[in-house]
Amino acid sequence: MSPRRIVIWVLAIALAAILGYAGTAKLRDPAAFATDIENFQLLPPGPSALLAVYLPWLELLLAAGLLLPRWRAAAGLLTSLLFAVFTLAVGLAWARGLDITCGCFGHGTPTALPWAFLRNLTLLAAATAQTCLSLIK
Amino acid sequence: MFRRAFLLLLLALVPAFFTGWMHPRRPVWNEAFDPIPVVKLARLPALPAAPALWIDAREADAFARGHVPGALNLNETHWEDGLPAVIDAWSPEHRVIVYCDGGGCQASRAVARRLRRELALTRIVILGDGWTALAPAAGKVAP
Repeated sequence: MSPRRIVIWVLAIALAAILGYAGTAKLRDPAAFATDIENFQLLPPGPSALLAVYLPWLELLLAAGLLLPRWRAAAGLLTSLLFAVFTLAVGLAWARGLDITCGCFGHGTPTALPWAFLRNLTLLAAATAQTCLSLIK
Repeated sequence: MFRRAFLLLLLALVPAFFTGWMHPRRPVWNEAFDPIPVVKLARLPALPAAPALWIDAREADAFARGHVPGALNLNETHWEDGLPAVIDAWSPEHRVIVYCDGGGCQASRAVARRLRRELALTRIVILGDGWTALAPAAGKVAP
């Protein structure tokens, strides 16, 4: 196995594990996750609630997709977009001085927004690198 | 690749539908699409006249340092302790005004929702700018 393929697999497994954990944690209490989304003050309560039941399953499907070679590029692309949106949302909340928890790994796991921002930025970089490497023939 | 990405987005809709329908802790849909109004302090006088019942959703130590005169302290941490006083004080003509620190605090939203759900309150608002706006109003702050 070439070094490039090893890097792709390592990144894909790590990202899949994180997405799988995040999705499962959010699924424990979608109602509380809806409140977490709403607290970002970017979406009204209705769309926040819809996103709260959709996002965990998308994360779980992306986790599965990253582990399947034929689906990896598509899942990687969506994962990169997802982390870009998360990073932007957390960054905006941080810039606006909101006193909220990010809800990144479900309700009741308080994370300081600057830390969540840095973590999301790292995940975005990892997802983007994985996608680019997967696309290079 | 884009076709597969689109398919992944669509596939997630199926379990999401069942989660929204059957999950024991699914969002309360009628609440989500009928949100509690959030008003700023400056806009309160514009609401139809009604006696106010102030609910301070901050923690007890913040409440002890200062609050709106007559406000009752009720938060999710000590819900069972605070609720009886709210039930005693409330009457149907009241407009319940819930506040927390202001800005981005989440306590007032959570308390207002729970009050509306558990006591079936209809006249309830959240003070968006919260204690940040209330505190400088000299004479309205009770130590």
